[in-house]
Amino acid sequence: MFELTYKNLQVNNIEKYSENYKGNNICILKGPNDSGKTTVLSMIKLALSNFKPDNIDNEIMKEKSKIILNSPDFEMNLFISSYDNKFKIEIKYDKKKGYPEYYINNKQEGYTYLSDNLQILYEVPGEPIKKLERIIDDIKNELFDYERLLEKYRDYIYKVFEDLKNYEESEDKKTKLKNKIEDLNKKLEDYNSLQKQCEKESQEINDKYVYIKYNKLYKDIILKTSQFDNIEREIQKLKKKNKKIQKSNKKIMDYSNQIINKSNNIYYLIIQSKPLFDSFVKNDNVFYEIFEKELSSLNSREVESISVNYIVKLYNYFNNIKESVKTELERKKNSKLYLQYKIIDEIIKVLENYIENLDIKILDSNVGELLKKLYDEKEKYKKDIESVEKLDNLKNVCDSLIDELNELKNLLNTYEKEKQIESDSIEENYESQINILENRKNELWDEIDSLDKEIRKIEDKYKEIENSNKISISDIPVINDSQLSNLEKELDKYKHICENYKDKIESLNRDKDNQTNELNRLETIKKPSTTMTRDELESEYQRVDEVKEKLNKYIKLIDMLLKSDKRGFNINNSEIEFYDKLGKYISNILKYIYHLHEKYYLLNIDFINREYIVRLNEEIGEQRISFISIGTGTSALNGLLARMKQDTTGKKQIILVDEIGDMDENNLKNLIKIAEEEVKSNKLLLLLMARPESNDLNAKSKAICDSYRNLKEDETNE
Amino acid sequence: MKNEENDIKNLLKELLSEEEYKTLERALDYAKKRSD
Repeated sequence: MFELTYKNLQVNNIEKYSENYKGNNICILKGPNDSGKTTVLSMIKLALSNFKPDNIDNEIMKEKSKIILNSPDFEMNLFISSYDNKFKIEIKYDKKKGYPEYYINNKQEGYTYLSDNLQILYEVPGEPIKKLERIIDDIKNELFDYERLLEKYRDYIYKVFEDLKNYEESEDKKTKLKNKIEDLNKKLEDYNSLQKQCEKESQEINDKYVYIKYNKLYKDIILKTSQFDNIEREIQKLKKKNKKIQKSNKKIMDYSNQIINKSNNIYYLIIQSKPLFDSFVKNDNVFYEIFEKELSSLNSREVESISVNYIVKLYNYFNNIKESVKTELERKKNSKLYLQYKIIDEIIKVLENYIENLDIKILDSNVGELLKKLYDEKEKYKKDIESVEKLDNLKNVCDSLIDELNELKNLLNTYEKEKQIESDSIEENYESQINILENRKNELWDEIDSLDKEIRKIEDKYKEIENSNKISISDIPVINDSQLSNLEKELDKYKHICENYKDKIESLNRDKDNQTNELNRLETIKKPSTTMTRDELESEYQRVDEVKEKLNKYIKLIDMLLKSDKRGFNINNSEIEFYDKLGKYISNILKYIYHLHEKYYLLNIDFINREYIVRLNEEIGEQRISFISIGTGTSALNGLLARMKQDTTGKKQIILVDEIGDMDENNLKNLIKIAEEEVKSNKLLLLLMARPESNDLNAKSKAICDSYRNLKEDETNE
Repeated sequence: MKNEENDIKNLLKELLSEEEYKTLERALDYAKKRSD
């Protein structure tokens, strides 16, 4: 019977591990990968090795045991009894206590006693092959990594090659550019010198030109200013003359206005008085001419429409009428009738003015009555007196008209005289002359202004030249336009030459800038940090490719080894050499293999014949262990059977077999059959085998202990 | 961690020519510098 319990084991995936295993003397631990099967075997091996990993020769178990003992609170309890239940082992271990307790047949014993009574056989049938395959797989992966690494290195070499090429070419270009820039500098130096000389000569001519020009302008300004002053004086004179003419014009205008007003007054007076004349003057042709035909001319607004002759004619006409009226009036006023009337009228005035009370007695009546009589008397004279009054009025009108006409006549005469004076002075009107002179004056002003602007432009320069005493007026005997024109032409010529030099210098500078920029750009191209030349880099690049090719070939050859069907190896010498070196390399890593509980020193691996070339010790020569015998478990079985059948001098046996999946079914059945016999003879205490189950089916299941059925039945029978 | 014995360079040193092996070493050196 077998029972194992443990707790507080600290490993990854502990949740997948079962902590309790129980079964009979032949048991198979089943479970998916990484469910703790090998850990259980290692735990039993550790317990039977006094919890000292160094006592364990199998590397895998040794590593597992170290992990188990690294769990600080680890505790375990192992119980194994023989088939007849007469031999019992119990091992208790608590990491915190730090030591195990061994009980044999319920009696605590020391480890030595246990080891004296117990033989432990441990076998992993396919382990050497698995180990070999793992190493080969690692090599393949590493070669694959190297291949990738070489690809990157090849890219790097390519880049360094390109950079170096670029750098070396840039160095050549830089040398050429430097020479070019040097040439350009020389040219620039030459042209700068020429330009400087040109500027200097141009400056000298310019100084001369400025000096002459300034003096000429100065003279011109003085001359024109003088002309300007003369014209101004002339204008002032003419303006004075013009003022007199203007005064005369004003008089004429005044006379003209007076004439028109006077004439218009006469016209209205005649029109108003016409009824007076109608009754006195005969309407003959003269009357018609005076009052109808020509009268309207007096109502004109134009002096020229008013004729002096007509005025004289009117004057004479009205004078004649006046004389006639006067004669008639005198005659009438001297008449008795008129005198009587006048007396009556005077009396009425006296009475009206001086006697307020009309009842005062006067003569035979009173004043009122007298006045009434006088009024009646006056009324009798009225008709006759009216004609006298009319004549009187007519005479007054004639007097007025005669006076007015006389004044008008005089005005017209004066007007004519003034007009004559004016017409005489027209010939002497200076306005146009003044205008011409003003224009000329303005022109001169503009010219002086223009000259002034010109001279101002060169004034500073002139003063500078004058102060420097570079040129004296005595150097320039004649200042004339042709001299200036020649100088201007010469200046233009120099200007043109200097500009050409300037353009050339600018062009050279641009060229130099471009070359310098290119040189600066090339200066930034640094030499790649490599000690190799371009040729060496090229060779390196090719060699990288070759090495990569070789690695690729090695990977393919290794793939051949990993194929399940290893038949049909048809290889050449170089491949034989590869496999030989690979075998030696792996042998050097593995150093030895455990097989049939023997430690063999590994000398080489013969991949062609699929054999380990090993040596057990110095005395025994080279041996060969075929991969097949390891892979089918036949060797392991034979080894185990041999040792099971050996005389153990009373020692009980415990057999632990890992990875029985690598053992073929027949060998496994054989092992169990013989183990069954050994169990029943109570020599074999426990045959515990581990076999992986499919990961897919039992991915979540824990490992279990499956007892061998036949033994179960026997136990039941008992 | 690799120890010197199982360093695959040992195998490649045997398999490759001297020049090829030196190239490989340079490639490894380059990879090491890159990872640093």
